[in-house]
Amino acid sequence: MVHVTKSITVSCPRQQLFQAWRHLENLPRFMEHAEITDEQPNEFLAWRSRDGSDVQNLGSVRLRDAPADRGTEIEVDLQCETTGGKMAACLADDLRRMKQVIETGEVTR
Amino acid sequence: MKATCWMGKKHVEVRDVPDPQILNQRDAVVRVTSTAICGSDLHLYNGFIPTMKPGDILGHEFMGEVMEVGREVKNLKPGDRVVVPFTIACGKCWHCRHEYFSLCENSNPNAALAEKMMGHAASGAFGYSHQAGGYAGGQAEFARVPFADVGPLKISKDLSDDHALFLSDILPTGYMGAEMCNIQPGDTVAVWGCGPVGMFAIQSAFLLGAERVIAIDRFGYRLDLARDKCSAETLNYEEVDSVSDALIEMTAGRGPDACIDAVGMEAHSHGFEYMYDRAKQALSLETDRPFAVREAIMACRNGGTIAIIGVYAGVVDAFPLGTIMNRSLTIKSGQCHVHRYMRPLLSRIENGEIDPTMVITHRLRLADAARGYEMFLNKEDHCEKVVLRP
Repeated sequence: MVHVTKSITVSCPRQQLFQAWRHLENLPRFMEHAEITDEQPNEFLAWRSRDGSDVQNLGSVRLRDAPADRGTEIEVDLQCETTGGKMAACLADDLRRMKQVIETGEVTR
Repeated sequence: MKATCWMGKKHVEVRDVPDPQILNQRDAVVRVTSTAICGSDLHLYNGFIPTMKPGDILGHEFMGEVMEVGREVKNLKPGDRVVVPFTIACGKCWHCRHEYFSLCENSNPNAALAEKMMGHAASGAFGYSHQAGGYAGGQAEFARVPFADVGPLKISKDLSDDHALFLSDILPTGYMGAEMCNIQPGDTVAVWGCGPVGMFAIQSAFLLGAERVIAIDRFGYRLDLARDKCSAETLNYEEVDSVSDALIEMTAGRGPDACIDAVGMEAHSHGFEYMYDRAKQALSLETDRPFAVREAIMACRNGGTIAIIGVYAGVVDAFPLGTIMNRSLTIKSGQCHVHRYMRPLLSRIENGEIDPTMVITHRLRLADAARGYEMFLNKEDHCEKVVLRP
């Protein structure tokens, strides 16, 4: 089991960001085929992968208002059944891509 | 299409490459009508910028005609004439909304790579290595412009390419250097480097109220340009033992109130210090040769400002931090936030306050880009600025 945490600030109101996370198709790769196990609206979401997912994982995301006009701070905690040390970089990439989609409407390339 | 490709150290080639395509709905494709070789392209040419790959398309100063736009680009249409800022900015993130466009949080797809090298990533930029996003540059017949709803500035038919082109980089860069100096009445500003950016920094310093500007270089023709076109006083650093001593003498012991480094990482000097830094750079113990900025720090008036607009890539040695601390110096720096300056500087061009064409010495066809790089590097034929036309 690999355990990683990563946070990012997204220029977007917390409520709107929570809705984006709640709609699973908007979510990072590791949440595909996940089921929600806990939820506090606009603040917290926890999930675990369904049986048969490519990568078995267990995670949560916490949203906090960032100071002044900085948007929302997102903190993801993820435990994955995987070997190899790429998980942290993969999570960082996923969060960056999600920020791009929410802020600019597209994945930068 | 034809494009200028970086093939390795001191090796560029105009090659046939696939035409660019719209990849995102905020993209445009521009047919390039004019493009230029920047002094900072010489850092790529000389192999000092990491993360270049053979075949990368060069060029970050370009303008042209919009050929095609993505669905989300509502402000441009095919046929519009535009000049394109060299930094790529999304316009939506916190830094863009605060006009720090060269620090856009979303435009660099290789941000993770840049973070490893610099702590945080800067924005993407055209034709300036994979660390800056790996975007194809504009020394080509066509270029893809991401976030085209934010960057490109429309130019009226009355203004020539030569007048508008430098809004893409060097004019705003020089202007930002002068603006960072927070010039007050009576101030003397010293500018290291009389390349095109230095020339625009000199001109901008006067526009912003400088009493005197002292231009520093070693090439007579460049010092002549600074004196004749920009009314600067000149200092040939090869004719003095110490630039900072000379500047302190020229200002009756005070030192320049502000200093602008428009040279960057491949500074040249004479004597032991140059040999030392050159050797360290060659052995990769130091990535940048910081003479200009060292001299600026030593010369600057107590409490003065040093603006760094010359490009640096990594680490330097023997940086006089104690001088900065004990003499209350301020250092300001940054890749230019081009988008912030394009409109106001376009107005200054249109009303005749700035004639950016003064720096152009050579006009070549795109096919002759390799020759242009060589001439510019070797300062052949009094080369100051090369404009290429596809």
